[in-house]
Amino acid sequence: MNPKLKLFLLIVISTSIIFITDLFLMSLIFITVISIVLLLKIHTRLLEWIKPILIVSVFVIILQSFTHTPIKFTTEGLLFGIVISLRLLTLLTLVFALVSTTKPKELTDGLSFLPREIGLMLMLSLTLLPVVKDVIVKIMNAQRVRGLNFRSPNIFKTYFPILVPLFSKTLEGSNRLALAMEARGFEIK
Amino acid sequence: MEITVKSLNFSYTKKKILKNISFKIEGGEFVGLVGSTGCGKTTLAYCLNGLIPNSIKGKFSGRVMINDFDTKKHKVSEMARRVGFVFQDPDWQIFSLSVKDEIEFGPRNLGLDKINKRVKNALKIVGLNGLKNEEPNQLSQGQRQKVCIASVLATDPEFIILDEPTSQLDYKNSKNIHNILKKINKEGKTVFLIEHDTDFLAEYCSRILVMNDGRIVKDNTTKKVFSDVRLLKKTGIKIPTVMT
Repeated sequence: MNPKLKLFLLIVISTSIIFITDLFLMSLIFITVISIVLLLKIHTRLLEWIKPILIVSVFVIILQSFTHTPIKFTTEGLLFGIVISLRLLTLLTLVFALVSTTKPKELTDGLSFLPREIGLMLMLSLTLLPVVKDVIVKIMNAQRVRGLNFRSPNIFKTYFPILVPLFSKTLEGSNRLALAMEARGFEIK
Repeated sequence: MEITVKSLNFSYTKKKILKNISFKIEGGEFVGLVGSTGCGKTTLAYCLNGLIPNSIKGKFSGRVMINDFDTKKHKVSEMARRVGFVFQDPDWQIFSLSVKDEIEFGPRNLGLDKINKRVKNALKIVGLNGLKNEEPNQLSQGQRQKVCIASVLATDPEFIILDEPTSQLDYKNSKNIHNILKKINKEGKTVFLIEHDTDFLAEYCSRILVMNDGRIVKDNTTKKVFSDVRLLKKTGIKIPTVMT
C-alpha cells in the first residue's frame, strides 16, 4: 500500500476514534484492527511490544471504574474505562502496523508533502532511534557489570543510573549532529 | 586558499581553552594537529570553520581568516562552501536513510548544481561506488566514515578539516581513510587532520602542529617535529615508529 495512503488512513482512524464513546463500535474497530495485524502476521511482535501498555490499560479501567462517580464503583465507569483502553490499544496497534510494514525511507517519502524542516525533524527521529537504542544497551550493560539489579523494586534506584547518562549522551550527540548539519550548510530560515 | 589564525583566544567559561594561537596554512598543504586529550584540538578546529564563535558561544578574541573571509563575520553555512568538516563519530553525523540522500544534503543546502554528478564523484573518491542506494545504518563503521567524508567532498570545499576520523576504526580501515585523504590532498585540497596516531601523521603529513594546554608549542615540518623527542615526551605524544 502507498505510504501516503497508510499515513492518511492512520490520521483519519486515530482522529475518528477520539470521538467514539460507544463500546460496541469501539470493540468492532479494535477487532478489525487486530484482524489486520493477524493477516499481516505481525501479532507475535505486537504482543511483545504492547505488553506494558496492556498493564496501563488495566490500570485505566480500574481507575475509571472508581472515579467516574467519585470513589464508588460504577458500571458506567467500567464501560468508559474499557472504551478508553480500547482507544489507546487501537491507536498503538495502528502505529505499530504502520511502522512494521513500511520502511523508514518510504515513511519519510510519504511525509514529503510537509515543509522540509518538519520532514527532516521526523526523519531524524526515525534514523536516530537505532543509535539511541544502542546507547541504552551500552549503558545498561555498563551498569549491569557494575552490579546494578534491574529487578530491584526501587524504580528510582534502578533507572536513575540509566537515565542520567542516557540524557547526557543523547544531548551531547544531538548537539554534535546539529553542528555537523550546520557545517554542511544547513540553517533554519 | 590560505588560512590565517592570528592571536586566537577562546574560553567556554572562565578557563581559557585556546591561548594566543597564531599560524598560517597555505593552499595544498597536508597539516597534522597532535596533542594530548583535552588540550583544545577540537575547539581550535571549530574555530577554523566558524562554528566558534557563530554557533558555539564563549569568549572569543583574535582572527581566523579563510582567504578574505573573516569567520566571525560570516555564517557557518557560508563558510561551509569553503571549509568542510568531518567529525569523529559517524553515528551522530549521518541521519539520512540512503547514502545518496546523505551526500546530497550539503550540496542541496548550499544550492549547488549537478548534484548527481557530485554524488557520483564523491562516492568514487572514497571507493563506495554502487552503494548509493544503501541504508547508512547497514554499512560498516569504516564505510560510514567514508560516507561522512564523501558528504563533505560533494560540496567541493578547498579546505577540509577532519577531527580524529579514524579513532573508532581498525588499522586497515584507518589506512584506507588516510590514503583517501592523501589522494584528496594530491588533487589540490588543503587537509587539516587532527590525529592521535603519530605513525599515520609521520607517513602522510608534510607539516605538524603540536598543541599543549591550549597553545601551539611547535609548528614545523613532520621530520623536525617528530625528531624533537624531548618535546614529544613532555607533551605526552607517542614517538612515531619510523623515528625510533
